[in-house]
Amino acid sequence: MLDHERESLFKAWLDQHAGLVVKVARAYTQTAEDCQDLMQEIFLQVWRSLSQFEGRASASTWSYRVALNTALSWQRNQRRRQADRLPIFEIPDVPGPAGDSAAQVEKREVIERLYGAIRQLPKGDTALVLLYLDDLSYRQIAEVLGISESNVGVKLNRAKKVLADLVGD
Amino acid sequence: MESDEMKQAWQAAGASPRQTIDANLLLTEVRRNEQSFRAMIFLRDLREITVALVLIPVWIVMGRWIKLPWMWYAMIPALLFVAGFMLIDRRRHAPRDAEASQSLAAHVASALAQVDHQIWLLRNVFWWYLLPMTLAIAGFAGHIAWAMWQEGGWAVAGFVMVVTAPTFAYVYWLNQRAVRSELLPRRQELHALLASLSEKAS
Repeated sequence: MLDHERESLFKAWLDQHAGLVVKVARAYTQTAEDCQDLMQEIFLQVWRSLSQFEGRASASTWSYRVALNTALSWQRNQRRRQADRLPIFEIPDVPGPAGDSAAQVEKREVIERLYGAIRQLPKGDTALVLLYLDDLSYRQIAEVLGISESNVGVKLNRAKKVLADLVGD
Repeated sequence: MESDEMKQAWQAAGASPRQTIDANLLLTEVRRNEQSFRAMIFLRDLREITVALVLIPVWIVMGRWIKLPWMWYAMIPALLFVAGFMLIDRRRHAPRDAEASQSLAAHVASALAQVDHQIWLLRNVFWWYLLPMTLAIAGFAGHIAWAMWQEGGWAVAGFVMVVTAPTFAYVYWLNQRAVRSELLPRRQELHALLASLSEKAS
């Protein structure tokens, strides 16, 4: 793949999927600095893997796979990670529309609580819940995780209960 | 809170953060990171082979300078073997870019295979690292003891082995400690993750 093709593909991918990277990075990290580091790691991995994307999976399935796999590897190698990265973007606050009404503040709090709960889930369930909240179908979730659709259903029911308990606490 | 409500709130908050990311700046940084990643891999391989390549001329110069017997040079094939083994092993087991876009379960299985290989490598460090070195050093010590017995060669040989044995034992212990303290817990964690992904809940 030529460099300019790769570059335009990357920019197009960024337009579509940057939000997914932020969500995954937030869910797998505790601090803004770590979130920034993981986001850059995911972007680097996407850049390196773009030439391998063959269109067999949909772009979003592929993106989730790269993001989640990178997040898991990043957690394992956290102690050895690169420390010389420049902070090149602001990690957006949990987004809410401008002009905070009481309802909007409440929504933002719900999201914060959701992130807090997701971080407490077992590692395998974190990925499952993220995909569920982003409204992927059972088939897509099964493709990302590499498990059967029926297994997705069973595990999701259990994970949703745990999540509801954690959010409710 | 119902799961549908959670989902709604989550998706409502999922506006793209595109405006907070400058694509050109990100591309520059991604390229820089890629270059430093490649440089890191290159330097790591270079460091390992350099240790061997620098030691070999040092070994030759020392041997000629002190006029040491030919068994002194047995260390050269040992060094070449160790450096070659490490490089070939690293090439054969290097993670591939395609693995990043595998399914999560396949990715975890690949990571597990890599950790298993690391464990195998460190548990067998005696065979591929310590034994070739020990044979070369023991050969040299034996040769000195045999050829210079009357001139106290046995004492020199004994001294060489007394220094070498604890050093190599320490290297072996360090490797086994790394297996116990780092690799086995990581393997256990990966096993648990893989099991949690593949289990069929009743």
